[in-house]
Amino acid sequence: MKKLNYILKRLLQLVPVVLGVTILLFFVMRAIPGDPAVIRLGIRATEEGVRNLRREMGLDKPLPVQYLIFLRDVVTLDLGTSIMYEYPVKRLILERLPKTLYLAGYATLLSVLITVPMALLAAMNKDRWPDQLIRGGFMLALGMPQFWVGVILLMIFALRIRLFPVSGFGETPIEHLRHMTLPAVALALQQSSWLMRSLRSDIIDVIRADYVDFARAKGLRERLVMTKHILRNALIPTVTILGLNIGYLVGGSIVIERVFAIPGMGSLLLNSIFSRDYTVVEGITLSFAAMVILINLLTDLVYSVLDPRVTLD
Amino acid sequence: MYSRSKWTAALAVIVVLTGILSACAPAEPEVVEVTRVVTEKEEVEVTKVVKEEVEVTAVPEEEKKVFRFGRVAGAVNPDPVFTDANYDIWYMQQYYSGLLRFTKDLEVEGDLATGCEASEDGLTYTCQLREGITFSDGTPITAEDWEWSLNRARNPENGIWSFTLSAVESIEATDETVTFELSEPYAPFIYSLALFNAVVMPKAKVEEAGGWENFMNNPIGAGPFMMEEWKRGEYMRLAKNPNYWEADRINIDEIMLRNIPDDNARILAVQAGEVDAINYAPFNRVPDLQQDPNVNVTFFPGTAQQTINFNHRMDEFSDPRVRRALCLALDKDAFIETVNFGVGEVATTYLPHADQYHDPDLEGWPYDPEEAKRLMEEAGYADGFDIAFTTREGRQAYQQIATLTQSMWEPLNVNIEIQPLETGLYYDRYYNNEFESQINGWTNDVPDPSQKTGYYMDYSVAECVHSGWETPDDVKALIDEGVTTLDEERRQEIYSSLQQTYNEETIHCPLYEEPYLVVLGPAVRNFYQTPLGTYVWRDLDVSR
Repeated sequence: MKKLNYILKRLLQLVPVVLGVTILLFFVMRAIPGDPAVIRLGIRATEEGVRNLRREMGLDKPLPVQYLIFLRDVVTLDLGTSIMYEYPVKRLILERLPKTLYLAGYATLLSVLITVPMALLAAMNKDRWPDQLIRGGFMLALGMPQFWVGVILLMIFALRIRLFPVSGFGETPIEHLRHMTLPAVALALQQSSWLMRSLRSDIIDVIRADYVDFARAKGLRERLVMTKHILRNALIPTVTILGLNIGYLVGGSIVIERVFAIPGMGSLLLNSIFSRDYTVVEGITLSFAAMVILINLLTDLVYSVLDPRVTLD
Repeated sequence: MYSRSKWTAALAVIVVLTGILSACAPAEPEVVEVTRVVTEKEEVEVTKVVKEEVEVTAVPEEEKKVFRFGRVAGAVNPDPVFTDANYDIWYMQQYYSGLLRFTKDLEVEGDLATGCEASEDGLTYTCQLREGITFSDGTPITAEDWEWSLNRARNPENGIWSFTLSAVESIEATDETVTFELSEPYAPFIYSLALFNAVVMPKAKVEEAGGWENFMNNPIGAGPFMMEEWKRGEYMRLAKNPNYWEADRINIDEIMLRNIPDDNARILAVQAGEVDAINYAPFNRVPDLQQDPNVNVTFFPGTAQQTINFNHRMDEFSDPRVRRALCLALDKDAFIETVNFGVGEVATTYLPHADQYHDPDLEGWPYDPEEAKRLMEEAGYADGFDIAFTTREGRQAYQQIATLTQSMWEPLNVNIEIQPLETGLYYDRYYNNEFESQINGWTNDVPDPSQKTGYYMDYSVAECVHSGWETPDDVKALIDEGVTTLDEERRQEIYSSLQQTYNEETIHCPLYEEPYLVVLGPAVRNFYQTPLGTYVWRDLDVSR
């Protein structure tokens, strides 16, 4: 009951945030110079052509009216129609979202799978050669730009050794997995460098804790000490970073989606900004805002499970 | 004490969290449920698609000939009348057809009509329709469809292409003919009838769908192919139209147009054989692509021209001597060498070499720094001036052009500040005349000089691509006569004279022309692109 109340309260907080985001978004987007009709016509823009196209796009209505239409579309969860494609924004997003979430999730999973054993190994061998090697390796990974890593991975594993496809998302679940592996690795490499640093130092801190000595002293097996006492306590700050990083991952996927020609949210957002497709930019940004809030909520819930001292108030 | 079950629960929450976020199939057993739901959904979608294919084409999967094309950007608005982007225009006549059509060499030939005859005075055009022509769904094309489609195309309220049919006074269609009455002769009219906007659309189907917006989700036309599926910003799938009057000629069963915006990704896709061809490879990749035995680098002559635009509203640029001096100071061969790796041709006037009315006697602006210096002194700008030069951000070629221009204008003491602008901002400045100098690209959309002449020399169209050059009355009269006169020799005279005026005035500074670059995989046969950029894929074939 307490948990449910907490969740409801947090979800209610969504309302003012979303309303604020809509106002900011709507007016900031329209304050940016560049008119969708002029951009569409480019060098061929004539006065008459721009006027006709603006009417066709519904941009000839007064701004407050356009805002109210937008607000109505948000409230009814409809999100309106794309100016550029004359197609429902909601459908555009729903076509793209699974691909981006797949990529972000796959990358997160890979980075956890890479980070946990590596961080343990490094922390257990603090300042000895495995530690130096692992830390150096991740430092290097952190320093490499993602698009570059992506291109190098493509050159080696897609063009030289034809192990993975070059681009796209594929059609069957098995194809998805094959198509997303290289981009997920490119994203996970950087992601795990951040996680690695936090987890390693947290493990080192926890190892020195009295309760770990106590656990060992009472004769617990090393494996149990490791999983129940060390890793569990060291994971808490890392979960925060992981949660925060998922938002960053979705942003980072814009570049990776381009390199691997994945038709996800990133490429949709980028194109929509360039063409001033107001409704699509607004729709995507709102969904991202809602997603970040939900992820934060989930992170807090995971806390309370990981650490019984954390209460949901 | 922590209990085992609690610890498992914590792990499960983490995994479900990633599972929900990913909606993917990770190795952990805890997320099996999430996975299954998504997988089932996807499977349903997949089977649905397959079923549709079978229904429509009735060609077994393994025998189906598919052509896969990787393009830099995809369709935006494939409405033949309201369209404006090359990503639509260049592909549109695969799925729509009109009375006439262009061959790969821009000759006009009959399409849904066997041909069109002009009357002696050039005021009446009568087109003879083929027998039994239908839309791709098998419904007959009616006289009403013709009148409705063509009247929509010529309505000046509808988009920027209505000018091609602006001379039309009335259109009358029967089951055998379509007849046009013109208010005055219009020289390029026969081309107008072969253009992408003058195609026939099913009136009843558009109305049934409740307007264009909905009709575009599943458009029906009468072209050699038909649109099967369009995922905005992702891909478009076309299937052979079994009801096309010339269906026997079409070899390809399906065309897959994939959007691959990144240059590297697009090139890798054709190198790895994931697509059969790509467009818009950057010219700096030509040398290494020519080394790759798996691909053929192909050039098609084009009308694309890169031009430096001056804002004549500024004192410095209001003097034609200054504009000429600045253009003479540019070594255009160096531009082609550096920017395009030797691919291209120096522009000598605003009409490209591929244009039938291009005047070959004009020498243009040959590189002459001495003369440039003299002209600047004569104009009173021996000490030069400072000027802003706007380019489009992310366009490497434009950045290089700007840098070269900067170094070549420096001896004239003209210092330019390069301003790379995001595309939207760039066109905003252009449209509102808020630039000083900039770089522009143009590709002809019509195989007749009248369109470009209007944009580049007629102030009333678009302020001479917003340079603000004020068209003198005698020049304006010539521009108008060029459109209405039907006498070939007179037209040649007019356009030669206009090109001379353009060059004397140096309204803008044309730099170079470039061909269309297409990278083809080994399987592709008979891939054609016209000088307008439009694709002609009627004879296309793939042999794997």
